[in-house]
Order: sequence, then structure tokens, then C-alpha cells
Amino acid sequence: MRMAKEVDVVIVGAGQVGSLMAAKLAAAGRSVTVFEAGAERGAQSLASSQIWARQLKGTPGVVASGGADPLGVNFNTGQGAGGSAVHHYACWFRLHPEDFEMRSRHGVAADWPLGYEDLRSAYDAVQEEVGLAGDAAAERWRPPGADYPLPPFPRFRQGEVLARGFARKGLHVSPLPLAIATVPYKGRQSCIYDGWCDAGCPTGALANPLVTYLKWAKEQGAAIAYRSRVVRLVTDEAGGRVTGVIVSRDGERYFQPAALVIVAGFALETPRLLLASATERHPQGLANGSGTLGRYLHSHVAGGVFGLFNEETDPHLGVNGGQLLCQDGYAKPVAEGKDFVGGYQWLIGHSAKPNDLLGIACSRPDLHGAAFNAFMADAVKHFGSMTAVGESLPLAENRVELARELDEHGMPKMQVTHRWDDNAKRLYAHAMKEGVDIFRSAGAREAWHGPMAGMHLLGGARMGKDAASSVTDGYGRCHELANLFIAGPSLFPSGGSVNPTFTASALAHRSAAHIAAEWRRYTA
Amino acid sequence: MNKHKPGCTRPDRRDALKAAAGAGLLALAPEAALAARQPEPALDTRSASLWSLWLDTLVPGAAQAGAADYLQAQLALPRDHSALFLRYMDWPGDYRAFYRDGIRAVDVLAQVRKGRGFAALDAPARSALVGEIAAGAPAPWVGPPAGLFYFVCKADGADLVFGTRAGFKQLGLDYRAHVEPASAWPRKA
Repeated sequence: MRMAKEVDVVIVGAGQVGSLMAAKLAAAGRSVTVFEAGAERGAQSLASSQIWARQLKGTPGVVASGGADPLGVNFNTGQGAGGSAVHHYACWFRLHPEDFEMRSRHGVAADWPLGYEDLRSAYDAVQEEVGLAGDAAAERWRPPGADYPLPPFPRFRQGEVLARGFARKGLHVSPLPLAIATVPYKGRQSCIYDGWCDAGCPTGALANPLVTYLKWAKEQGAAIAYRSRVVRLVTDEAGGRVTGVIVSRDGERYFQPAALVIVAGFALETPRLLLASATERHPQGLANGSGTLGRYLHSHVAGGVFGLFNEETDPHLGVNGGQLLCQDGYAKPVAEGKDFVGGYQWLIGHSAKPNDLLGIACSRPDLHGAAFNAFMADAVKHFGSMTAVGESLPLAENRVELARELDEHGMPKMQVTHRWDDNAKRLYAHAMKEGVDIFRSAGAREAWHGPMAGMHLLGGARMGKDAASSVTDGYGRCHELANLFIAGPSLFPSGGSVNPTFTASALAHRSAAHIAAEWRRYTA
Repeated sequence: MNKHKPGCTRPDRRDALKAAAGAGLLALAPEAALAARQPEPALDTRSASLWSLWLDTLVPGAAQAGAADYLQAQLALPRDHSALFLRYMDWPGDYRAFYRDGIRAVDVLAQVRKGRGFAALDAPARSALVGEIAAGAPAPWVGPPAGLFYFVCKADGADLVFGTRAGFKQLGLDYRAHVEPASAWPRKA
């Protein structure tokens, strides 16, 4: 097998956190090579079409997404430069302090090996680097931290209408914090509110990796190898260190030596690669002495609420993530009128296209024929929507496993298993009832809700203080391998009730600084 | 808190992006050249015709919007280049088989229920059959799950009738493209 020239750092995956770590470690003077299984792409490939945009979604090697409540895999993943962050909605929130202590405070899930204060400065640094827009003072639920560097988004008619419903129910709203430029920022232009976010914002307003960390990584000298699938991590004879990776590209396999390896392949591909790298020293897969690798895969429990109003709402204007936020329901404990542990938030006033999974059409799967077309003609002027994002408790049985079937690189595909527990089902029912009530209070002539769905992929290689029950420490370093790190949402022991990209980025920012400062310790 | 002001969407910059990007994409893949390189159809003529009729029952206007061409074009693409809504459903099997078997199951159901194929039914009978399939448990049904087949095909119809520039115009919406798609849907180069 051909051997490439050794580099300091190999990173697997050119998504949000892989790009971030590449930018930081290259800036620290390290030679960095990023291997990305998908293709290179630029802004010009981001066509404004929900039909074309499906090419951005992932097609990972999953034999089956099964279990009682299968997770939506393809929609939640990505492929190619920037990974799933290229089509993400840029809703960026901080976890709350108690999210890090679900076991010790509430007796469920697992504690993180770090607390909010450990991550606070990284949140502040990341939001300054990419440019977050919001109104910190209006977010009455927001943990302490620096003010947003950009002013909040404007409120369009749909936001005004739905805010009225929240106010009448005695609930609070704030502008949604978004990683989207509301004014020109660091050479990027400001948003023009056309709602093409998940088709991959080509204007540069949305802080996806193509215009932030991946761009900066290349500027700092990191090499990005596209269509290059890492099929195996290689360890030394003692099994205590990773010596490099085996890469498959254009039908050839070669060995890329590295002093340190970071796996940033997202919640499915990360455990897949470690499981597929089993050795005699690590028979259950690398870094799987605890037996937890691939387990505790979880998702946010989500549900959409929809309605039609007599007044025009301009539902096409704005950004896909929404206009407003409500976290009045974030409190964790069971209480009167709340029969579940964990909280939820509302993302309010999505910009909706006529078609696609989160467009207007799919809100009424029951209609067809002339009745459906009549609904569409009405709804494009009068539609409103919002989404509950709720906490689900990670279950050990929800997992990624290797399948027998091999992909075109000779790597085992995956089998994904998932079910919701009763706590998640109660949370969903509670939120949907509240959401429909809010729409009626806002004056909707019709209000309904969508099915229980998974939103985001988390866990699978969770971090923790105890090597007997987790895969990595608080910096993402694998307990059993001195120079192998994991980055991304696969590390999350629990997911709170907020979209994960900001927290995954903050974790990666903190870990990159740590690796740069402690380089000799990990590579000696 | 900021309020939206009419006219704050800066159409000048949107138009500039659209023009520059559209020109580049069209230069790379002119429609004429694409049409000249059409692959062999993934579905036979009868199946494609039946699917078009089925889709037009779900979303009127789908046939005229190019239902048959859309499906043939997507089924000719590699899985990771497909623009089919089915992609979101994590369907592990072959995409061609999903549609081929689903269409056949619709036709067989029509034969059993009404004594005639789906194409020979009048509009109310077709609509009634759609309702039964949408409910998810028609019998006999040999194909992909009936409810899933209905849901996916209806989303395909919504793409065709409402998800293109022409569809937006029909709804009275400004398309507001940042990067103009080279064509309404991708096809094999």
C-alpha cells in the first residue's frame, strides 16, 4: 500500500466542526489534511430550488434506519464540502447550565464532563468569528455571555401575527438568534430574506462552512482532499496510539500517517469508522472499551404547528429557521400540567417554500386533488408555522451498528435503530396542544399540527468523566488512545432542547485550543 | 425590535447574483445538449404514462408540468445525485423498483376494486382509490408501503406543480432566485 507523507493532523470530515478544527490547528502552525468523502462544491452550485437542493442531503451507507421510531437519516445529514452545515438553518443557541447536569440534577441521561462556564468563552469566541444576529437582552432565558455582534432580524408579517398569539397566552418571544448576517460582516453580505437557506445560501449571509471555517482552513494552509473516504484508523502494535488512516480514493487505498487524528464525521459516520477499525487490542472497535460506542444515539423530538389566517402573512419572507424564539417551556422538572422531564422551545415563523418536506405542501398530507391545489393557493398568502424542539433522553438501545453489507469502498454499512420513550411522547403531545392553542389565540381560522419527528442527530460517541461509561473525555480525546480525538454532536451525552451546531462548534473551538496548547503531551 | 419595511430586500443584489450564476450554469449545461444525451428510460412507456396520470390525480397539473420526464430523469441519476423527494425517506431499496412496483400496485388495486385499470377510471373513482391508498392499508397491495407511496408521490406532484419557477408564478409568488437553477430539475449530463 502506498504511503503518503506524514502530516501533523488528519481530520476526517469537512463539515462544520472538522472545518473549524482544521482552521484553528492550521493557524497554530500544524500541517493539516482533511479527508472528505463527498465532493468539493462552491456557492455557484447552490441553486435556488428545493428540488435541486436535495443533492446537498446525505446518502450515507445505511442499510436500514429501523426500530419502533426510525430516525430520519438522509434529511439530517450532508455530503461534500461543508457537510450538513451547508443546508442547515443557522439557528444557533447556547445550551443552558442545567443541560450539562441532567443526571445529577434530574436523575436522567448523563452529566457532561464539563459545565456551561467551561464552554462560555468558546461560545463567545465562535459567535464573534462567524457573526451571530440576535437580541441578548430580549432572550430572557439566555445564559450569561457576550452580546451578539450583529443586530437582530427584522420581523415580517408572519412573525407579527404569531407573536400576538404568544402574548395572548402570556408567553414571551424574542428575535431568533441566527448565524446569518443582518448587516455586512467580515466581507460577507447581509441577508436578503428570500428563504433559500436550506438550499445552501449562496450569498454568503448564512455562516455555513463554505464562507467561514472551511474557507479559513484553506487560507491557513490546510489541505482538503475530496472524494476521499477514510475506511480505517490504524493503531500502533500496543493499541495505545493512532498512527494514521487508510484512505480510499478512485479505487486505490493508501496510508496517510499522522501525529494526531480527529474524527469529525457526524453522529453516524464517526462511530461507524471507529467500529470498523477494530483490532485485536480493540475487538469491539476503537475507543469502545466501555461498550458505549454507537449507543445513546438521540435526536430532538420535534413537531410542526401550522395554521391559516384571514390576513396575509407573507410566509415566503424571512429565513427558514424562523423569526422568533420562545423558551418559556425550557424548565426540566415534572410539574403541575407538565408530565415529562426536559423542556422544549418554539422556533416561530419559518419562511416556507410551497414544496418540500418543510414546505407548505407537506403540512397537509391528507389533501389531494383539487382540494389540495385550492389549499396551496390560499396558504401561500395566509400560512403560518412554527416548530417545537424538545429534549429526548438518550437510550442505550438507540444505536449505530455495523451491517454485513459493504459499500463501494469495502467498508461495512450501518444499521440504525431508534425508538422514542414515553417521556418524549408526552413532551410532544404537550407541546402540540400548546402550539395549536397559540395559533388559535393568534386568530388562526384553521390550526393543526404535524407528526412526531426527529430533528438533529446526537450522541453515538458520548463524552464523560468515567472511561467505563463514555468514549471520550471533555476535550473529545478517546479514553483509550492518546492521540485520537472526536469532534461534533456525536460527543453529546444529552442534547438539551436547542439546535446543536453552536454547541458543537464551541466544543470544537475549545478542543482545538487545547490540542494546540498541549501538542507535545498528545504527540510525544 | 426591528420591523420589516417594504422594499428592504434589495432586489438589485438578488438580480445580480441570479444573472451571474445563471449564465455560468447555462454555459456548462445547455438544455439542448442535455436533451440530446437522454439516457434510456428507467420506466417503460406504459408505467410512465400511468404514473403521470396517478400524479395528476394527486396534484392536478402534474402531468402537464412534466411528471413523466421528471421521474425518468431522476431515476437515471446516481442515488447521490437524485432530486427525488424519496431521498428524504431513507428508502433502502432501489428507487426504480419503488416507483415501478407502486404504480403496478395502484393499477392492480383498481382492477380488483373497479374491474378496470386506473387509467380507465373516471375522476371520482380515481379520487376514491387515492383516499384508500392514502389511508395506508388497501388490499390487495403488493408494493412499497401504500401510505408512503402516496405521501412521496404527492410530494413529487407538489414539486412539479408548485416548486418550479412556473409553479411559483402560478401561485402569484416571486421566485427570488439567488442562483438560478439550470433547469427545473436535474438530469443526467
